[in-house]
Amino acid sequence: MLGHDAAPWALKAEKLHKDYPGVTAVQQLDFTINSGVVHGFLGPNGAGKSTSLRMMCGLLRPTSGRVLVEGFDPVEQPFEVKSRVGLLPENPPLYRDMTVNEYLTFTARLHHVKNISSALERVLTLTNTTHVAHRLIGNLSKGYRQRVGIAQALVHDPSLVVLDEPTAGLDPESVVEVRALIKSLKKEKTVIFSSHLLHEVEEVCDTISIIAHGQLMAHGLLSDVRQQFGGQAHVEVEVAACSDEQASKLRKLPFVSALEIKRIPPQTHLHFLLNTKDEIRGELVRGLVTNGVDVLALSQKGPELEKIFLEVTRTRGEA
Amino acid sequence: MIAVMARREMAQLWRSPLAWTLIGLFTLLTGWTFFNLLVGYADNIQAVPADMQSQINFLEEVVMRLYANINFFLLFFIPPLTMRLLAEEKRQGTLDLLLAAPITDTQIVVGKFLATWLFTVILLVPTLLFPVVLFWAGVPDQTVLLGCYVGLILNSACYVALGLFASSLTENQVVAALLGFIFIMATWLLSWIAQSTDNFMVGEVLRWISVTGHFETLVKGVLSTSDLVYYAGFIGLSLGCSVQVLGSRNW
Repeated sequence: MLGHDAAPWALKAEKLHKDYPGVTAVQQLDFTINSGVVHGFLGPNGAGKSTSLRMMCGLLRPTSGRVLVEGFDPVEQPFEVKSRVGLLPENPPLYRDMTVNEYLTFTARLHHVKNISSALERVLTLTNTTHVAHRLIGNLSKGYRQRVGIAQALVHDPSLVVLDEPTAGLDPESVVEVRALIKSLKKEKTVIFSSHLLHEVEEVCDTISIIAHGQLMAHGLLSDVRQQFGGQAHVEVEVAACSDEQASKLRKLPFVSALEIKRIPPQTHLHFLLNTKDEIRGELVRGLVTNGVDVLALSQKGPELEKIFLEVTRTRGEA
Repeated sequence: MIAVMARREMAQLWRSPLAWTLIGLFTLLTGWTFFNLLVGYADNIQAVPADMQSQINFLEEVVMRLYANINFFLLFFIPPLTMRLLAEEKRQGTLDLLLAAPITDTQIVVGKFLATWLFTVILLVPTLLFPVVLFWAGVPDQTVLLGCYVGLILNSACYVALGLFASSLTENQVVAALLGFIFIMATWLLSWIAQSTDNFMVGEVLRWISVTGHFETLVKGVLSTSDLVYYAGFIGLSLGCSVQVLGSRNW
């Protein structure tokens, strides 16, 4: 047991494994999530995301291996873990016959919160639900119910917040607000959230794990995962003009896999697909200039997360 | 933590129209039964010759039959109260809220049990009018009445514990209510089998296992340590089974 102060990480999984009768849900997961980051847990439906999250929060016991939350094992020290973790499950656990105030007061009591009124004021403000505090939860819109679900996860001021698909089924406005809320939490807390919305993960997360068929396929900084699984990079170049002859010379450059030209007068865009992950933008500019093409603007795009995700999960499926 | 759970359950019960409906129906049904037993007793008394009237025992004909009937009514009134206790938490996903909090499975089960048991005791409160009427008429034996109420309260605890166990087995409230009814009914069946069997030993064992057998002792105004041990054991075992079912998510 390391204890809170000794752990620079928020969560560590060591050979985490969960079998259900006849089914292996999670296989030998090994990863560490550092403190103060927003970590995305990515995977297709049925990949084992929710099972993993439930084991992290002490709701499920692993078949073998273990999770450590700030040094505490949810199996050995469940109360230590539960007081440090705030969970929003996939279906927000709301009592529809209670008002928001009653519900959050009950949740605060469950977590032994001492100053309940100030805790409520804090989470109601944070989740922008103060004006619905006296309304029945059953009468709230889905967006507000989700916010109340997040409020209950934060009411005991946990250091680790686990959100299982927090934006699923929300309208676009609520999605933007929930994402902003998650980003704001990063200042003080570690946030782990699962999603299959890849652009959302790209927007919000610092680090990611990709899980498929219960196995960890990729883990680390978003940029590192791109680097590791990205394969080809894309460079978009805006040029003054590019003739067919110049284009065929550019296609012969050693690091160019493909070149696509879009001419929308007065602009000409060259879309290069590169066969290297190395930084070669300088070399590419020199190649363009050498061939008489004037460069107006250049931008490099990493491989899209969606492509990485599909590639990683497909690779495993084939294996 | 048990108090936090119990408070929440009690608040939810009072908010529910079902609870108020059950209180109303139970009061009407028990009142109607009391009235009929009194009228029936009066008719019987008038129908027999004066020298035979002393053979008709008021306590047996009215008081004990009334409380045996009330005990029977609980068979129908408790399953609707217990059906949602854990089944609804599972169906709505609110069980996750409890499981993610620093509260044990035992505390969840005991908190729910205590709140519902207290509610069934409240359900019995309007029936206190009957002993008042009987006392005013100068009839009753207070020990028997006290025994009847202790018996009803302990029996209702057993029925609530069984109903809670039934609710832990399913996410469907209707199934939970049906299972609860069957479980409670089973305790009655045991006493009926005990009465019909020719084997003395089997009969005695079944009577001891059956809740009704102990209730019959209490109704006579006798409270023994054996009865208390039985009730404590029955409630503890039923609640323990609910805790085990709740913990089975890890199996």
